[in-house]
Amino acid sequence: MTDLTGRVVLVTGGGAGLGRAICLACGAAGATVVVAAPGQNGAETARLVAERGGSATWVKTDMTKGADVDAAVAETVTTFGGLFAVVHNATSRHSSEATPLSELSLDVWDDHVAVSLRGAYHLARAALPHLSAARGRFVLMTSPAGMEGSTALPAYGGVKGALRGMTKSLALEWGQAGVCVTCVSPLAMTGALETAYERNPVLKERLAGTVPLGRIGDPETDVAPVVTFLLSDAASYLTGQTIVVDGGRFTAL
Amino acid sequence: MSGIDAYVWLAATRAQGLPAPLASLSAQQWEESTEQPLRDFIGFMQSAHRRLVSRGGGRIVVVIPTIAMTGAAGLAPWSAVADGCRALVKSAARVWGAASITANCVAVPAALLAGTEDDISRSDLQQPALPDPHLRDVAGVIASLCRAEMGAVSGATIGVDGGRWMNP
Repeated sequence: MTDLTGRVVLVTGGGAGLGRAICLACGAAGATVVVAAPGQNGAETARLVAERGGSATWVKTDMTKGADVDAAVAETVTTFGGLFAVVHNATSRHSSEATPLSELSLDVWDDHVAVSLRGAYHLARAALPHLSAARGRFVLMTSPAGMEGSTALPAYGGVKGALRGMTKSLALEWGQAGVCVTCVSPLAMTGALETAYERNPVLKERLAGTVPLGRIGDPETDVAPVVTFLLSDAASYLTGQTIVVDGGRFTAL
Repeated sequence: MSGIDAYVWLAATRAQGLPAPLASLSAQQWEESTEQPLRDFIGFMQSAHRRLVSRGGGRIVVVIPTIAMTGAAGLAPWSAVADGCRALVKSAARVWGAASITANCVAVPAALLAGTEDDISRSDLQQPALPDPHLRDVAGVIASLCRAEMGAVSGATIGVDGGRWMNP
């Protein structure tokens, strides 16, 4: 099992779904987890981490606000004495709303940008001094939509693609400081996908059929362990890359 | 035939080609170098789509810096915008193909696109297989993508960088 003992990890969008799974995995690996989330479900994630024997705290954070992000990082460092890694998983609440590119409103686009992309900028500014001191990690969660494009979710794909571009430049920029910057592109079950399955039971089989391994990934057992690996000593020479965790679906990188 | 058959977007501003550490950017600099260019690009794509649909199809070509694929220290906003544009072009290509619209990217050296003298990409790492491309080389590829026989090419990124990166 990956050992993250003594490492402080801040996870954005940690209140539910994949973000919660990452928090649980980090906690189980021995990290101190800071759950950055705008709602009370962040506290529930922290409770669940503790219930499994881990250490976690919730910091109420709106990723669109630089002051919130600054405060979350400052509180982390003050409370725990440092920050080893940031995992930026938060996405817009509009992420799963299908909107064709031709009809995409700038309001919806701006919301995607504000959480994912501007949120990454806020995190980079606030966390860099601490990540440099720790020779730590900056992990950005991207998506297959960011590499392949998306018919239904072009805004989501656009900002996830932008995060990949940012990752590569930041990896080059921060390499001298010993900070590794990577992307993870998961194909995993989400709340939105579960709802879609309930509405359309055929969808599950059809989607699974597009994956060589024959199933959609599980956030906790398939994706989160890859994230903890990236935060471990074993990944200290890995930077600037997009790690695709999708059961072999996308092979064109 | 009248009207416009192809729309070309250059994903570059002069400010984007000026390297600066991401963490040093003010909120306003971030907005100007990242968010506004992406907003402008969405507007361009939607406008091009409307006009091309009314004509029964056409071409969209987006010229991006190769740093979209390779990254470059100090140019995080520009590489983010460029890779974001690339993802949006793929999304457009997937849907708008039904309206006989193709959408592709042409990736060129960052300095050529920004109009700067200095090689601001990773020139120390890879030498081009060919001499550095000129603007006429880029224009030639764009013109080729607008030809009828290129109608099956869509969602692609074509590198016009003298063979420096040889990206997949």
